[in-house]
Amino acid sequence: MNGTPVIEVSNLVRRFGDRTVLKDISFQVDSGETLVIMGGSGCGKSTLLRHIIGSMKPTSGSVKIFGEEITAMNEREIEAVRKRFGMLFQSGALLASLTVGENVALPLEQHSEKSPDVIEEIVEQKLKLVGLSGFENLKPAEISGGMKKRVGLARALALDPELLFSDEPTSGLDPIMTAVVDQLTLKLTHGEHMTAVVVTHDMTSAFRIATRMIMLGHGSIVAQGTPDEIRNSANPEVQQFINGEADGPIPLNLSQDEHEHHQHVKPRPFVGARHRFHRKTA
Amino acid sequence: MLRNYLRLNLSLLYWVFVAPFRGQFFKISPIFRQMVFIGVRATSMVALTAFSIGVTLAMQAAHSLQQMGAEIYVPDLVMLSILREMGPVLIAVIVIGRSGSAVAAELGTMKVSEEIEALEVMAINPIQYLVVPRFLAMMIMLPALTIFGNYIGVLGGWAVCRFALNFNTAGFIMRALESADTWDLYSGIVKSVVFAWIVITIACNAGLHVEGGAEGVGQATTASVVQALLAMLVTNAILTGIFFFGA
Repeated sequence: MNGTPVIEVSNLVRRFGDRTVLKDISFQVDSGETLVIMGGSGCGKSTLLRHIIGSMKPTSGSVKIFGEEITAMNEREIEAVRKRFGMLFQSGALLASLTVGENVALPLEQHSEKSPDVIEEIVEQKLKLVGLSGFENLKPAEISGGMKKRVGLARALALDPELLFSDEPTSGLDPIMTAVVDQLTLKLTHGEHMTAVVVTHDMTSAFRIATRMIMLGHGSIVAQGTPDEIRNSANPEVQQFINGEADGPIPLNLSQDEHEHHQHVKPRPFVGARHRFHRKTA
Repeated sequence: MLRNYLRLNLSLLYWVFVAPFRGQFFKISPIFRQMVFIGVRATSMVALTAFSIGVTLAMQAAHSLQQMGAEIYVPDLVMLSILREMGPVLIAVIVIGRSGSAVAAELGTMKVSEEIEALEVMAINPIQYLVVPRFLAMMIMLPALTIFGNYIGVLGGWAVCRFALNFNTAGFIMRALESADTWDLYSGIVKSVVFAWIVITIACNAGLHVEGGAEGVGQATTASVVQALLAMLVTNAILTGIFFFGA
């Protein structure tokens, strides 16, 4: 079943007020592929991801997932699609009130008719997959950031999704655990034909798992291609990014402007507070 | 803000009254967990508050009524004030301060740590999963706490009458029961049901719409307490007007 498109993004544009955060983005991800999206902080990676999973609506353009237009769906239809993919959040996003085991069991309890015994077995198996057997009864507050992320991965895989989104899956992991997570991704995409979309800064990991790469900058696609094409790209921005150099064509003041729209931006008290409030609610 | 609040109320109504008939019945165990958290753990505070209020009311009533030689009416006054006004209002105040703020802070923290977004992405509706159990727990526990508080409040009144005014217990009970109507009790319970709705929807709404990290959680918690208190007190005045002045 390799080759059928799982995600098709065409001419995606998103504006916040008069600022365009995503400018005419088009790409396609086929079944069994691992697409790595990279780019500097605030270049629109997370916004792009949120559009693909249907939690943000584009200003214009189309996003098709499993061949269906997600931008035209209502909540219920989006929920049906979301049961088919898993997502790993940057922080893990575990529910703090539940134990590690209960977190992994959550999608199974909510969306499958499986008995508690079977669920327990699946939880055990998924935690083993990420190297966390025996941690079922701890609360998220009792484990490290890297472990939380791995539990988040186990939870994302609980329903054996056809498609996995990972937001920086390896940041905060030690090199060995990074390799384990990468191998797991490779195993799932090669062995079980899962499709993966990974947003990452970690170039070692990116080149290890990607079958195709996209580099975003200023809200548009700077470069896309296979890992080899990206590595040999003549584009100086790409070279600067993958080699991690401080000097180059990517402007440093980019992030401040780009961050304005971000939801979790920390408010600076008393500086234009009213103006910002109106813009936020607009 | 108001639009979000109305939308929350509508989807709450859907998940409580419509969804169960479409095969999406809410789970029972989280409701009990929230009942313990919202209600059972507040009993000692409620008891202390209600007892103090009962004692205070009796002392003030005794002071005024003694001048007219009418201490015999102290039980009447204590009973009516507690059942109609002091019980529902003060217990709602305790629950707003203790449980409403906790719910707002908890949901707010979940919002800023991406937990709510994670639920949505897992196709779990946050209203159904987080708000409905808290809502039902509050709708059950606030009236229950109010009935419990009424008892304790009257007990406080009795303590003053028995030990300071030398009533005998039977006399106190007779007077108290004679003065109060069942409607006095029911009106208080109706009030507490309305208050429960106000408190929990305001707290959940504040929590679910937090923005901007830890600072935002703090602001939302404060806002939920202030808004819930104001809304509750204004509603109380309106309900008293409707119930007892035929307005």
